[in-house]
Amino acid sequence: MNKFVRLAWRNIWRNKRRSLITIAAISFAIVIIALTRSLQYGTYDTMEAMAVNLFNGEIQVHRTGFHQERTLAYHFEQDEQNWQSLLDSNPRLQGYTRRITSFGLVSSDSASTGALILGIEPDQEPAITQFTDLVSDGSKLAAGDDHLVVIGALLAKNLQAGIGDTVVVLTQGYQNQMGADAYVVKGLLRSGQAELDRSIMLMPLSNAQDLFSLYDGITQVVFKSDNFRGASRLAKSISTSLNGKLEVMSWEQLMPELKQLILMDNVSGAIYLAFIIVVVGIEIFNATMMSVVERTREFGIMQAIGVKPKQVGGLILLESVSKVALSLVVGLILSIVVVSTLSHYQIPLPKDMVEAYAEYGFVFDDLKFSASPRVYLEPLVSIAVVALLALIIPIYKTYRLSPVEAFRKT
Amino acid sequence: MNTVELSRVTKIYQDKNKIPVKAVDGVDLEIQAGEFTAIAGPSGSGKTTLLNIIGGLDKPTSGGVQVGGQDLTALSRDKLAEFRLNTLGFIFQAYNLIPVLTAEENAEFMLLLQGVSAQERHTRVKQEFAELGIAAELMHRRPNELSGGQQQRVAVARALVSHPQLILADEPTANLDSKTGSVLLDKMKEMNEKKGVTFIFSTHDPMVMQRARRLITLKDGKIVEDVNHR
Ligand SMILES: Nc1ncnc2c1ncn2[C@@H]1O[C@H](COP(=O)(O)OP(=O)(O)OP(=O)(O)O)[C@@H](O)[C@H]1O
Ligand SMILES: [Mg+2]
Repeated sequence: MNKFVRLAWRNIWRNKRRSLITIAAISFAIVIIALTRSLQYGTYDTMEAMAVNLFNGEIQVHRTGFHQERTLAYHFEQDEQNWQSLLDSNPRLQGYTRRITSFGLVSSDSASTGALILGIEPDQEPAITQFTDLVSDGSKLAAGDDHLVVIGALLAKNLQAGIGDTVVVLTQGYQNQMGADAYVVKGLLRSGQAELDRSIMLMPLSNAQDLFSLYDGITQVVFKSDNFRGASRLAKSISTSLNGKLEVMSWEQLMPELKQLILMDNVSGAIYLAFIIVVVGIEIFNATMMSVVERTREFGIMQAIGVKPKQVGGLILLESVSKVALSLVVGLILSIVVVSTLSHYQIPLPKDMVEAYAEYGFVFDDLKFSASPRVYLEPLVSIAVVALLALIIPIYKTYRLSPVEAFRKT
Repeated sequence: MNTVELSRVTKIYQDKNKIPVKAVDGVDLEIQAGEFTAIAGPSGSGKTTLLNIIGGLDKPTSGGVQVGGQDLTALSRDKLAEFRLNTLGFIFQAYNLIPVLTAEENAEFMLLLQGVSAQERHTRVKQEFAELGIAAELMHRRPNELSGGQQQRVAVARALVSHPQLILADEPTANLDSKTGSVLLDKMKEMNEKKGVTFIFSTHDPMVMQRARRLITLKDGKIVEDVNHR
């Protein structure tokens, strides 16, 4: 085959413009695909890093029905399972914390309003979600705190209450027992999620258990894993180890709209990428076909002077593959340059996207790029595969060409 | 031993309307080594078809084809290409050369395929170019920088350097003016006499017919005359 290398190389450049257009088209497509993937993975990676901000946590265990009804009737014993041994038996799980989630009426000297009351374990919670750390004034809850609360900054504003002020909470506890107690505001939470900041009140789990007359009861156990994307699978395996006694939900089930938001992005992205790849395939097919048809007579001559049909086919393969390989190299270099350049700038994300993500606690307002190898590998591999597919017909045609036909064509 | 032996060779093509056309019709022909033979006949009489069959570029519909002792009808496409590489030289009316290769590279192309060393290729091509009167400064030109006559000489050189038993030339002078054609023909005749290479032409050109030692005339795919001018 090396006898044909020189011939192939010259043939690539005999129609310079056409070859350059092909190379430009392929490398441009690679840049576009790499850029798109870089953005998608970058966003995903950022969300993964911010997953700790998810108010709901990554994986939640609760009594079946709690997720829909949100009433205390669905509470369970805080030690119903040996959570620690569940954690130990599943290396992907990194920690757990127990919670009570319910509602109440909060009053200060000047106003009263409804609040989302979250009883947390102050020493466990930070390992699971960081959202309880987002305290802007005062300080966060600590182990051993009693009758201290952290409230949303907007809630505080509505109540005209500040650090050190006392607030009174009225609730309807389990089996409609009234609960009432007074707490001192220790800190203000500013999560960036307006809805949450307007309504949240965090208190130590034991205070919440008293307030709601639950004693040793809780409503949820929240788990953190080492794999944001694999949360669904993990949830299933936990569910199996719990023998289905409790319901286990991943963030994808807890927040289907968030999953939708990511999925939408992915599906439209995939369609768009598939479109680009198909167009590149057509361009390669077309360029190769044109060159093959134009050179029919030449192939006839080559066969007449003793070149085997498979060698003629091989020549076209060599020419085309070299051209594609060249394009891949150019495309790879260009995409590395483009991605790394763009990632140095803070390019703002569209406002509605910022808001949509912020609703879940993913607070970022500029585009995130990933430079992971798969960003480059995916376009290179997919284009290479499509190119090879696009070459099958032109090369087969060249291989099958009979010299007599070749001479009659001109 | 005969270089070419055709027995009752018939070639039927289907035209566009699927009507069969007998391009060659029951031809029996023997051509000995060292002959300088022209095949004449009106347009469409089957000259090109006959040459293509002798060169294994086309398969007869029926009949036997033996060239240099090989039965061509039994060979695969790859074997036919190998056979052409090692026993044949082909020269067509025009556009014989590979456009991206220089005159020298074109002329040595068959040698390259045969696996001849670079050194020997160069010597053989240089010598052949000298014998055919191809100026040294043309060596590194591409076909589109050569005149039609020069291109044809390079094609002849390519055929000759590979030391074939047989050279098939389909109207090699048809695209040349009569003076250039005549010079080319003299060169080929010289090679035939000096090296004993067998030549078979097809032609419309009276000048070519005159210089041929044997003149075969085709009409409607049949041999109507076969004259030896020894
Ligand atoms: N591939 C083909 N398909 C159909 N018909 C063909 C084909 N090749 C040749 N023919 C027909 O066969 C006959 C002989 O053609 P051929 O080319 O051998 O003639 P020729 O003597 O070389 O003519 P010319 O002097 O014009 O070159 C013609 O009628 C031609 O139309
Ligand atoms: Mg002809």
